Amino acid sequence: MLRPALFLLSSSTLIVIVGFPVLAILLFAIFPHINELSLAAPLSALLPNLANEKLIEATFNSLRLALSVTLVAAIIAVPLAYMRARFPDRLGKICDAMFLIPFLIPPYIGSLAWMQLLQRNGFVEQILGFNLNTFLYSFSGMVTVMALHLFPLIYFTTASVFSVIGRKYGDVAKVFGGHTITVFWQINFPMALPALLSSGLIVFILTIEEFGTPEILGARFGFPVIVTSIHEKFSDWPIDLPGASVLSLILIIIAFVAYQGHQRLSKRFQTTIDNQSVEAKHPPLSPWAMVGVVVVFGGLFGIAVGLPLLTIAISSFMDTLSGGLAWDNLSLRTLRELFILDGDGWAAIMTSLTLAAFAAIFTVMIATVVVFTVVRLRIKGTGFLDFLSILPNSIPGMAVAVGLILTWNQSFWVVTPYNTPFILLLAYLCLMLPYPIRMISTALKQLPQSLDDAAYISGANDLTVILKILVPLLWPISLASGFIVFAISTRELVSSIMLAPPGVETVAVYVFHQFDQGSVNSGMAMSLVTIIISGGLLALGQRLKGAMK
Amino acid sequence: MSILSLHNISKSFGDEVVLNNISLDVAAGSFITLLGPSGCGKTTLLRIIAGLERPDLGEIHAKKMTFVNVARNVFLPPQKRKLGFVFQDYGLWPHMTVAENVAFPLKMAKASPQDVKKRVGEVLDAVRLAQHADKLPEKLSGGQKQRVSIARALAAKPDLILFDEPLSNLDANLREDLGRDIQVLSKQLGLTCINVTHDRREAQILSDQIALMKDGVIHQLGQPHDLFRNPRDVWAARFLDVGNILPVGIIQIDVPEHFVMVPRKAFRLVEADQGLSATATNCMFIEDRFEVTADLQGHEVKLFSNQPIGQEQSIGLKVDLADILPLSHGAC
Repeated sequence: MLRPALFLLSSSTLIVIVGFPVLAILLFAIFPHINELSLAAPLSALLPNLANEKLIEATFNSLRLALSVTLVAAIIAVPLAYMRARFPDRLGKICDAMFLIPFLIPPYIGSLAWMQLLQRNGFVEQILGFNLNTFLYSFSGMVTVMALHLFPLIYFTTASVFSVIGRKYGDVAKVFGGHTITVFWQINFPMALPALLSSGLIVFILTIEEFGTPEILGARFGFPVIVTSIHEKFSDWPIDLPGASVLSLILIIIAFVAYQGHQRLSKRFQTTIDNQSVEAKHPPLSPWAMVGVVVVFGGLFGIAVGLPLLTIAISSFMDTLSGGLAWDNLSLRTLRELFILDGDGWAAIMTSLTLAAFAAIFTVMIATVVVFTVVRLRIKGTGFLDFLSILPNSIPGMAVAVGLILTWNQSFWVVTPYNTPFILLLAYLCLMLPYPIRMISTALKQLPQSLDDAAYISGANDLTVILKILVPLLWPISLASGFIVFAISTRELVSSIMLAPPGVETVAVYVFHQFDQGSVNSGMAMSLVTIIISGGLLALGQRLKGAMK
Repeated sequence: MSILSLHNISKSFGDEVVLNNISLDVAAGSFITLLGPSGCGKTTLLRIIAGLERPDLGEIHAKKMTFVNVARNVFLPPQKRKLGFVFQDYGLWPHMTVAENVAFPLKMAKASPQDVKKRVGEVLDAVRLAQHADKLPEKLSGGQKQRVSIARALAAKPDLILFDEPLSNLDANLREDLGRDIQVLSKQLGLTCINVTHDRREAQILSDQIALMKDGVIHQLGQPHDLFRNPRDVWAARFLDVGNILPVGIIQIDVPEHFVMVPRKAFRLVEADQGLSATATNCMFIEDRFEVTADLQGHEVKLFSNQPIGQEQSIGLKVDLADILPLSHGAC
């Protein structure tokens, strides 16, 4: 029978990919000798670690950082979103497209660009004669850099809510005589609050999970967070596995709680607001308002996107970094070096592209089977599958890496992917799975059950229903999700750094190492290539996804 | 001869009993409607007949095969039951043309390409959609989509066709037209059909037999005229909206029942000082006469009138005793 086979296939795949790493972290945190297959000395690692001052400091720092970034991102995003909801359609779309671009720059590359720009003897100092070194390497500096990268998440969610509210309930409120300010505080704000909080929680989670920026900026002014502390546990000898698992557990718990909150809030928002019906046409803006828009949106775009991108591009075209910003220092040498076929740069590009391609193909295949099993086959146990399939949403990349190390770096396995590129593939599969799962399951849930039922009654079996009905209807969205997985995989940093076997570099690892060794401009050149590849594919994936609707 | 018989079908979802020991015989060539309010179990019963849902208890036998026998652990999956099904939301596959949609059951039955082509042509002719064969469903109107769905259900010449509220997604005028078309088609082709609906009018148009369902049991079974003229109790009379339900005392007749059903047409308007005195509260012109709402000793009643009646006007009512029906309270 196909149904039990599908169920077995999807549950065993999910258990290996998602269940093992999470379970390993839990077990190691509680039983530090579990790898010797012994339950001896339970909690002997957990309790001392929890009392450890460094751990407390790192946890506190992580929370403080994530809260501040969320707050600053919201302060930037909400006024913009409120303005955006009043724009005529075309202008609004241009603004939206502009604020998609920060996502195309991986956060660690953004941070490296800010360093290059603001630090002592950076581009700003070379042009303007002063630097912002002290600000950049401070708590406020780091919060600003991260908030500038993440605010679009809040902007998009709240802008769409404001426009729905504005169109429907705002008009209703005005009909009953409310003033603009009253309408904002009585209608718009309370109704947008769940969406604001729910997107804020996503920013919170992404900040908690982020490795690159705290490692690049935070390390220089002594600001350890949970993720960087875990990295330290693995880089300093002796490696502290139980310590790392306790930290990972804290990380997972914070992210999990925040993610649950996000889920609740976004569900609540969807149920409280009924579907928008009428689309009000907004009148064109007055010339003065237009100037204001250009200044505010353009200015922010210039700072959040333009400056880092320009820095990356200029650095890539510099012959030597010490040569500084001078016309005679421009050359294609650095970029060209990446494409020398036996060079490290080219090898890193090929590794990343291969891994990304396999990650895309496999995640889409797994997601298709899992989604069909969870959404359409109503057998017992699919609730557990559903839980496993979206669990990676709330598991930070660092925790996945730790979990994979704890799982596979054990002597009892006869064969293990550890220390081979397959461990990277496993990590990518776990991290990327939620993207195709979410996209395909949304699409499948929108297909009425009657499409399947009609086929069954017409004499089709499960396999025919999948092949003749569901696959033809779902392949475009699957393809789109594959592109998105591919794009995000090509820039993945944290699990790659933790898991790459000796002699294997992905693009992100290459960039990181180049900076460590001081070859800033060759790191920047690789960043430029990454942004172009992953950015182009992300844009393509989004476009495909949009074309589906 | 019965083409389908249900014995003691029961089904619960969790603690909620949806179907409670239902037995029903469906005669060949008949059109039977399961009529009832939402939550009465009618849709679940239809899905159990189709094999889309499994009963907890009971048996279903078709002409040549056993669909379900829970006690013997027999369950025939829907693809083997050789039925037609018309869905409320049409259930047309958006990536296939009209002809491909209709051809699907034939291809599943491994008909030869010539036979498929011929039969698709026949059924599309029967639902008057031959000229739309190569269109995608999205290009069709709601009524046309439902005709395609019907054509698909007819295609493989099933013994039995199931309809799940086939008219409820259509607007009022279309509903009437398509309903009559389905009725004519089913008689022409000698189809056996089971239909599910909460709409009295749809049930009246389509059915030879109506099974009125309430709380998971068949409350009353009969031909439409019988059911609507002789509702079993207060609940049935209310749901079927057959007339005014009043305490027996108001009409002053001597029957053991507590309630009496007075059809709208059984009230005759007389001078205000004659008959039962009432006060008109509303009056509107519907179809070809006025429908008057009046207050009769604290009870709202509806009746027909040829002349408009002013609001708050005192009226007298005579009751045509031949038309009234004493009602037991039932489980209401």
